[in-house]
Amino acid sequence: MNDILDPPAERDLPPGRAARMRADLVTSIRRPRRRRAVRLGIATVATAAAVVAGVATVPRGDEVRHLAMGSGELSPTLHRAVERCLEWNGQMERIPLSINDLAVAAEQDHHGVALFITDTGYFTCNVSMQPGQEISGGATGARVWPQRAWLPGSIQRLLLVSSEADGGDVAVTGRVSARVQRLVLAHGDGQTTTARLVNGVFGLLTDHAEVTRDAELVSYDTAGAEIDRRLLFRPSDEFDHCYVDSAGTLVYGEPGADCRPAEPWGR
Amino acid sequence: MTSQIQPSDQDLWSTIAAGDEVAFGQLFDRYVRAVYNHVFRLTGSWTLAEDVTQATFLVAWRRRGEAAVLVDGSALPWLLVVATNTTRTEWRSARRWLAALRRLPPEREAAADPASDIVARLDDERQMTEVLAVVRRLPRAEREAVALCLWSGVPYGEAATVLGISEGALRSRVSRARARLARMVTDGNKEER
Repeated sequence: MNDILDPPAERDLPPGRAARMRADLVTSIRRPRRRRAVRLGIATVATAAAVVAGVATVPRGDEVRHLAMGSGELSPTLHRAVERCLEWNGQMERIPLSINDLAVAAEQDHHGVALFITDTGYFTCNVSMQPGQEISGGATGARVWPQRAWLPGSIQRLLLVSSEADGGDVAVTGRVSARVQRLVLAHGDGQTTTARLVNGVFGLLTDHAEVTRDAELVSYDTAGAEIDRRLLFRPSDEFDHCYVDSAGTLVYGEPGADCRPAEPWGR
Repeated sequence: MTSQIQPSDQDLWSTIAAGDEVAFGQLFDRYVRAVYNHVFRLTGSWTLAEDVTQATFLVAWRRRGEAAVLVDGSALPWLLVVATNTTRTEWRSARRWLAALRRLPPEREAAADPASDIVARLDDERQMTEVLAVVRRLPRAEREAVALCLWSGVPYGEAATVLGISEGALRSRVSRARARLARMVTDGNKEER
């Protein structure tokens, strides 16, 4: 094969990941009786949800879109997805979690994403619900989230899903400080989408957009003044500055002389 | 002095089919690296490769009752095809959605990765993205034949069996892919001049 098409050399999984993956797999296959019981319970819910969805939210086609800021706003389909997320979390025994911990959930084109924030940690989940196919997806989270009480500035993006590798339609969730009253996504092509803000959490879902790599999240205070502007696709652990909490402890970024105060966050 | 004889894939799979999770763990240990790297070469993302690798072994467990999994006594070709299908399903079903999943800030365990390893993995992803930009212009069947036979080194006969086509047809796919890739690279070089 031509050199230019030679792939990079093979690698092992990062340290500890193979063991963790192996443990997760074994855990998930070890308790067939319990899983079966849960699955039956979920199937009942799912069946009911599917029937309701057929009436209420157009389950066919690719036009279903829904953004829920909390468990009280879930569509039947999203409710089903969230239940599945909770089931996966239960199988992995990762985080004490209930549907009341749901901060944001969004669905589009038979895919759902959900972000849960607990008193100490977080859990996020991605569910594919293609008609006629087995529900699949993935989840990640942390029982303890050391940075929970602080934000790197006025806003922190937590979960971003996009239809294309570098844009297209996007669903974005995250956290904002108390001084953010309005948050807008500037797509980079002149179009904008306004996020919903509830209890320090934001959710944003574009509609047939062509969000570009230059897209920015722009936040405004009560007076309408811009207080923050940052690239949407910038890695969430990459910062221009370091941030320290009220005690001067580094919370985000690399140690440096130009640290800014992290902004407190709570729900 | 003691010696341990490694069970064959045939032995392992027979035990796995009976529901033995220990044997399944051994199969995982044996092939996780190969599956992980195969998926990386299909997606250009180490993170996605982790997710798909895990999904691949879950599918393998669910399908443990199937008899025709082993090819010439090896489970690897089948696992790689399952991984390929899992990757393809993810991307196809994601048509307008989920092409990239960017997660929450890394957990503390991520800090255990040496910085040099992180940089090297980013370099890998950049390099693989460039390779895939060319390879993705091939028809899907040819692309997957390249990944399976040329990149992952699965023998033609075994790959053909697990793909359900003749060895000759598979060799033709790879041959056509090679020719197309050579033209693409040549044309690309001319455009650069």
